[in-house]
Amino acid sequence: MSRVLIPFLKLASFLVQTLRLGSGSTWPGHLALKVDPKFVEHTISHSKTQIVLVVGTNGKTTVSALIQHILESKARRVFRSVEGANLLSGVASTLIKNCTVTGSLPYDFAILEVDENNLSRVLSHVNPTQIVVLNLFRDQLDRYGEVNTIATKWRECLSAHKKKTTLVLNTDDPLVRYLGYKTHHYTSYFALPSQYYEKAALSHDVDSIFCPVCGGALIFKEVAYSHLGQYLCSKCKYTNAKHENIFMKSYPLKGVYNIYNVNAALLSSSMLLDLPVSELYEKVLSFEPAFGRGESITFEGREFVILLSKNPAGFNQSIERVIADSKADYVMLVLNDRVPDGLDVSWIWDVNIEELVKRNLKLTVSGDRADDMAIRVQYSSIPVITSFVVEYSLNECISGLLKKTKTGDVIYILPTYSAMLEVRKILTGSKFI
Amino acid sequence: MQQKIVIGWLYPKLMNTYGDRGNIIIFQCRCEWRGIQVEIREINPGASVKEIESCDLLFMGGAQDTQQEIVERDLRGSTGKTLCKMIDNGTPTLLVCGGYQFLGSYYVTADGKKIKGLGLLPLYTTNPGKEAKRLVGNIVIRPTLPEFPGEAFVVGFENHGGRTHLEDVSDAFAKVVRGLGNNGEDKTEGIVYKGVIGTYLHGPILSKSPELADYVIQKALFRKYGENVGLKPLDDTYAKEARNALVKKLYGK
Repeated sequence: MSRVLIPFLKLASFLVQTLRLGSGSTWPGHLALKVDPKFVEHTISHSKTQIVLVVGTNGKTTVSALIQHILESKARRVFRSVEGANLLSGVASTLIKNCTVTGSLPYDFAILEVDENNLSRVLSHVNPTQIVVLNLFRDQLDRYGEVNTIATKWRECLSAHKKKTTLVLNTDDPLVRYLGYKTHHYTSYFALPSQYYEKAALSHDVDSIFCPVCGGALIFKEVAYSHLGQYLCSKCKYTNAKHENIFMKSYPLKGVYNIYNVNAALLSSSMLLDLPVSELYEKVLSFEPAFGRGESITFEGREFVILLSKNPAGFNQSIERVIADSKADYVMLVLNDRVPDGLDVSWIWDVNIEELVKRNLKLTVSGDRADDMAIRVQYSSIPVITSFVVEYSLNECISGLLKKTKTGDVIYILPTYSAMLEVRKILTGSKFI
Repeated sequence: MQQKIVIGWLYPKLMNTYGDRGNIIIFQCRCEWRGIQVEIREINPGASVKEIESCDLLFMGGAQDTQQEIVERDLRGSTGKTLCKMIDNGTPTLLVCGGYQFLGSYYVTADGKKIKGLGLLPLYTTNPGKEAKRLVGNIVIRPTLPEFPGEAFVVGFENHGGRTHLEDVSDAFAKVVRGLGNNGEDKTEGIVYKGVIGTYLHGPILSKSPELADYVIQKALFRKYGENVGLKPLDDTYAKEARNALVKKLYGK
C-alpha cells in the first residue's frame, strides 16, 4: 500500500507547496492518516530514525531548530517539523516531506514539535527517544481549556506510555517539573543559570501558583518570568529538581526566555550525541533565529525584527526584548483572531502594554482585531496617549513605516501567528502592495 | 469637590482568567480621565470586614477550577457575609463567570458534587461533566437593564462548562442575540440582582462596552454622593468600531 501511497502523497505535498495552495502543509498528512490510521508508526518502524518530541506553549520551533543545528554540526542527518505542523497530521506531513519515494527515512534524528493538546495522541503513535518539555502557559483558552487540565493530561499520558523514554524538563516551571516527579521515565532537567535572574516578583500573567502535588501555595524565592523560577511549596515542600549545569557567558539569542530555549537544546543534544554539554557551546553561537522568532528581515534597507507574540507570557517577553534595546523606536503590534491565533483576544489585557507606552515608543497597531488592540493601548496610560496609529491594512502599515524611517533603522513587529505569516509574505515576497 | 471611588477587586490573584483584570483597568481609567480619584483595593483571602465595607464598587473575575475552590472556601467566612450584606444594600457589583456562579443557590460540579452557594443570587449552575461540550465562542447580547443608555448590543467571548439557570428568566442581564449565554437553551445571559450584574462575558466585557462601564460608575457615584452628575463623554471610537465590526460579523447587522 505504501508503495503507491507515499509517492502520491509526496507529489501532492510538492504540488501544494509549489503552487502555494494555501496553508496546505498538513493536508497530505491528513490524507495519509485517513487511508492508513497507523501511517506514522508504519513509516517510522521501517527506519532507524530516533524521534525527539518537543512540547510546550512557547519555544518549540526555536528549540527544534537549535537541536537540529547542533546535531548537524556533528554530522548527524536530521529533519524537523514543517512550520506550523504540530498536530498528528502535521507529524504525518513532516514524514511525507522527508521520506524517500519508497518510504524510507534516511535520517538519524527527527525533531517533532507537538501542540500541547496533542501529546497524548502523538504518543500513542510513536516511541520517542526523548521528550523535551519547555513550559506551560495560558494560550488559546478557547481551544485548549485550562492550564491545569493540560498538565494533568500530560502526566496521565506519560504515565500510560509504558516504553521508557527520556524526559528533558524545565525544572523552573512547576507544572513541567511535575512530569518528572515519581515517574518511570528517565529524567534530566535544565534551568535558568542563577546569574541571569533579574525580576523581583510574579507578574499578573501568572497562572500556576499552586503546588501540582498537594495544591498548596507555591512561594517563589526568585522569578525568571511568568510562573518560572525558584519555588517551594509551603505545605509539602515540593521544589525545583536538581538541574544540569549549563551556562554560557553570552547567549546567541536575546531574552530570558531564549536562555531556557538554548539550555534545553544543549541538554537534549548532549544526551542524543552522548557528548558533554561543554563541547557543544561553540556550536550554538552560529545559530540564527528561527522563522518569525526574533528573525531579522532586511526590507528596503530597514531591519524588521519579528517577535512572534501569541500569548501573554510570550508577548511580555517580546516587550522586555524591545525595551532592552535602547535604540528601539517604531513598534508594530499586529493582532489577528484566526484559527491559529485563537478566536478570543481577551488575553491582550494580561500583556504589559503599559511598559511599551511608558517608554514613548512609536506604536502602530494593525491586524483583523486592530480595534481591540487600539482599545488596549488607549487604556494603558492615564495621561491620554496620542502617539499611536491604527492602520488596518498591513501593506499600508509597512509602507507608512518606510516613509517615517530611514535606512538602517530597526522596526520591531510583535504579531500573532497568522499575522506573522502575513508580515513575512510582505517582507520577503516578490510583490508589495 | 474631588470625587473618589474605592473599587474592591475580589481575589485579584486567584480570579483572573483571560484578561478580566482589564475591567479594573477600564474602570480606573474612565474615572481618572474625568478627574475622579480611584483607589483599587485588592480583597484577598482573609480580608477584614472593614476593607470590604468601605468599597463603593465591587468586581470579581473568573478563574480555573482550582482557584475557584480556594475562593469558595474563603467566601464561606466573613468575606462572604460582608459581600452578601453589601449586595443586599445595593452596592454596584460586576461579577464575571465563576464570580457569579457561587453566589447562587448551588452548583453541581463536573464530578457530580452538589455544592451549596452563598444563596444570594436566585440561580443555580450545573456542569454536565468534563466530556460535555463547553459553551465557548464570540457572543452578542442585548442588555435588558433599565436606563441602559447608548448602543443596545454588548459583545464579548464566553468560555464556560457550567450551565446557569435563573429562577426567573426576567432577572437576566441580557438576551442572547448570537451565542449561547447562561445555558445554551433559554437565550438568557447573566443576571441582574439589586446592584449586581453577573455575566459570563470575557473580552473583557467593558472593553467594547464603555456605556456599561459608565453605567456602573454612575451608579456608584450616585450612591455615594447622592447626585446624578453626568459623566464627561470620552473618545470611545475604537470601542464602537470594534463592537460594530463584531456584531456585523456575527449577526449581520
